[in-house]
Amino acid sequence: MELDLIKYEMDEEIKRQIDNILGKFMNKTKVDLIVLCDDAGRVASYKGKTQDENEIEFVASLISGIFGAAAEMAKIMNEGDVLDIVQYESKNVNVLIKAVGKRFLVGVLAPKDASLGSIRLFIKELCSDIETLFAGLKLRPAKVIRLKPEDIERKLNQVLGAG
Amino acid sequence: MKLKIVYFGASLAGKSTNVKVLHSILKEKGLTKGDYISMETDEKRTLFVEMFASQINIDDHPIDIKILTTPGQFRLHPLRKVIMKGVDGLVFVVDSQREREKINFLVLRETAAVLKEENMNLFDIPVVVQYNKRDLKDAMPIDELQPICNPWDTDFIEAVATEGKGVLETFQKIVTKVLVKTCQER
Repeated sequence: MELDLIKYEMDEEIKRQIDNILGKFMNKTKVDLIVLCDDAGRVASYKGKTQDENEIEFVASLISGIFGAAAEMAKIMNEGDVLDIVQYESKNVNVLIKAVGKRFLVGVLAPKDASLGSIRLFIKELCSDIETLFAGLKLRPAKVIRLKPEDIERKLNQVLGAG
Repeated sequence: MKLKIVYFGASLAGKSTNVKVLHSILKEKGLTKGDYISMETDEKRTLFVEMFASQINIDDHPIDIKILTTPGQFRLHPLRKVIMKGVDGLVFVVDSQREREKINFLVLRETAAVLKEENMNLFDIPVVVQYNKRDLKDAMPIDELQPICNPWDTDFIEAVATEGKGVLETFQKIVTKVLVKTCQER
């Protein structure tokens, strides 16, 4: 049996719209970084001062971890409770993480002089816009590679070389 | 394509050692992205997570893989739940020592419960069992470990993670399983 290895991606138009929404938020709030990721820590989109993809990947993992841990605590303290926002401060940054629908999260890292009130206000607007956008989201296969299971094994062995 | 592989197992079974050694091996091959991230206690025990990212190419098609460990200590159950979210493949690191027989089974049972809480079924997720610490004198024979630690009857690898034995083989096996399953679902 021949199998397809398929990568699913968001539509280019959806990507562009998300990019616009994040860009507008950046302009309004002057935050250092905004990351949109799923609850498993996979990056969907981001904007910010850093463009280091590896750094963003780890930030996204930690955003999902921090939010997930806080959600667990909320459940232990009050069964049936649903967490919406996590906020904490360090010496140099304020961090805000908000749920976007059931599967996505948005994390914001802001300098200490940024207005938290404005950030909280605009993040609600941003989440509402993204939820509306995701409501009509259709994933599409971006690339298809035809591979048999034994080919996957062989090709991985070529790359990793475990034998 | 982005994959999330989680190493789970009993406390001190060798999960962190596996992931650290794997990071070194993949780094040498130029297959890692960024550094190794570790959140551990003063006693060098995993508090929350240890992780790194890898990228491999198949037919010029990049596959991003995040490799994470769960904390093994029982009291850290809520954090294990968080790390298991959206997992694509699991490596069950088994401590082969006879005195750890029961704890291995308890971890397996607890992991099934954790996944169930996340609406996932342990038997639906690709798994590789790694029998670690095969160099120790009181390591149980594989045919005694199999009925306890491998209810899937899935592939298993014998390892001595501290020496790097079986580490890359385990990783290659789980990535293969995840990719084959991903393909079959499409």
